[in-house]
Parts: sequence; structure tokens; C-alpha cells
Amino acid sequence: VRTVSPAAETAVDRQRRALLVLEYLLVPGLGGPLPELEWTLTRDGRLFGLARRGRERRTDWNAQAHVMVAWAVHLDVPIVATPDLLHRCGPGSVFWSVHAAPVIHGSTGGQSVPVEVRAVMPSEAGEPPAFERGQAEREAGW
Amino acid sequence: VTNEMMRRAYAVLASLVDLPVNQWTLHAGVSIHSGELYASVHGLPIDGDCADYRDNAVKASNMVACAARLGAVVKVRPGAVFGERDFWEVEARRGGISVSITTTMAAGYPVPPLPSGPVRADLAVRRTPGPVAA
Repeated sequence: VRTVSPAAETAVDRQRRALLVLEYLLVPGLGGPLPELEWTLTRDGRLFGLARRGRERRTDWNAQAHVMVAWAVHLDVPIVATPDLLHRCGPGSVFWSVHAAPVIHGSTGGQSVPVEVRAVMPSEAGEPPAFERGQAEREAGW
Repeated sequence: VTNEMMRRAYAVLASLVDLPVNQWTLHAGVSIHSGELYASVHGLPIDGDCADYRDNAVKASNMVACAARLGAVVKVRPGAVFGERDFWEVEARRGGISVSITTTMAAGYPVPPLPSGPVRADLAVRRTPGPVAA
């Protein structure tokens, strides 16, 4: 892995660093059981995943919830619910999101890559499940 | 299987990451039209850091750089959403994966010719100067 000092880091360097994290997330067995997630890689080196489970442009809320829980388990972070001010799924809809910052280790020390996975959920989806770190993974048997 | 498609899309993206693209998106899923699995890589060109997206010269040169690398042409069609603007698109396939780079441009903005030789590295960093402090 090529590493550079933060001061000399270019946008391409940041994207390459985020790509390393994305590659890790796509490894079968880690990201493996989590298909139909749309990933966006920004020029400043952030990763956004959008749960879009179901057929193209059609969403299956239960499947999306499963995806979000799986990602929360995978990244070992809780799901955060934020009101959807644009009401993409109608009034009361919420964003479910998980945030993590995996660290890429190099000769200059660790460099984190912000990762956010998000789904827009309708109000009937209720609150996202809460769990202690590692608890959901044990309960799900993953 | 979908994940394998995503990994193929990842490999394609990894080979293109030095293009003058501001944001990349990967998607793998099932087509609502054909029921077949598909994967795609989509990019938005660097627009010169212009918040109102009016830096057409920068976007145009970067779209041409992408077209040259992908061996494609820049297709122009009237924007369906922004009526006063055109929609520029470069499309190609790499390893069975659909690659597209798109942007909106001022209506009638001319498409520059492709570079005659190999795409020069400096095309990838062409940007407009930032604001000058008073």
C-alpha cells in the first residue's frame, strides 16, 4: 500500500485510500451477504452506502432494514434514526444510518476513512433496533 | 452473485480512479426491466469547484479527457430536467460493467475535440483558479 503524508495527499490519493476500505467492505463474508447497496466515493475520500434493496428503483423496506442491521453489525456501530426533512417516503419517514471510520494503517500512521451507510425508511418501519456492540451479531448467529 | 458483480464494478472503478471525476458511484442490482443482474459505475466530472456548476470549460475538458481514456465519444442531448441545459454523457463498457460519466452543461456549449495523442496526465488536474483574496 502506497502511503503519503497528509500534506502531500491529493484527491486521487484520498480516493485510492477510500477504495482500499471499499475493497475490504466488499470481501465475501464481510460485505458478502449485503447485496444491492449503492456505494458512492467522493473526491475528498469519503464513502457513502445507500441501501436500495429490492428491484431497481423499487424498495423493500423490510429488506432494507435487514441490510442496515447487517451493516451495523458488520461495522459494530448502532443505527441512528434521523427525521427525513424532505419526506422522501412521506411525512414521518426517517433516515436510518450507520457511521464508522475504518483506519488504514501506513508508514505515516493511521488514516481514517469516513463511511456512512444509509436507508430512507417509512414511518411504519418504526425505530431501528438497538443493540450492544457485538450483541446483534451473536443473536443473529453471524 | 450480486456481490460478485459489485466486486467486478469495484475493479473497473479502481482502474479509472485517476480520471478527472469528482464523485464515483457503484451499483449492482436486478434490472426491473429485464430481471437480469447488472452493475454500473457512474462518475460526475470535476467542475472546477464552482458551487453553482457553471464552470462549463472545466467540465467540458474533463468530460473529453474521460471520453479519450474510455475510447468513447461525448454524447449531447437536451436536458430533460433542466430545460435550459444540455446533458453530456460518456458511456463505455469495461469487463461487462456499464461505465458512464455525466454532467449538465449550458445549452449549446460546443464539445471540444478529443486530444489527438494519449491523454496527458495534466488533463486530470485541470481546474479553474480559486478566488483571489482582495
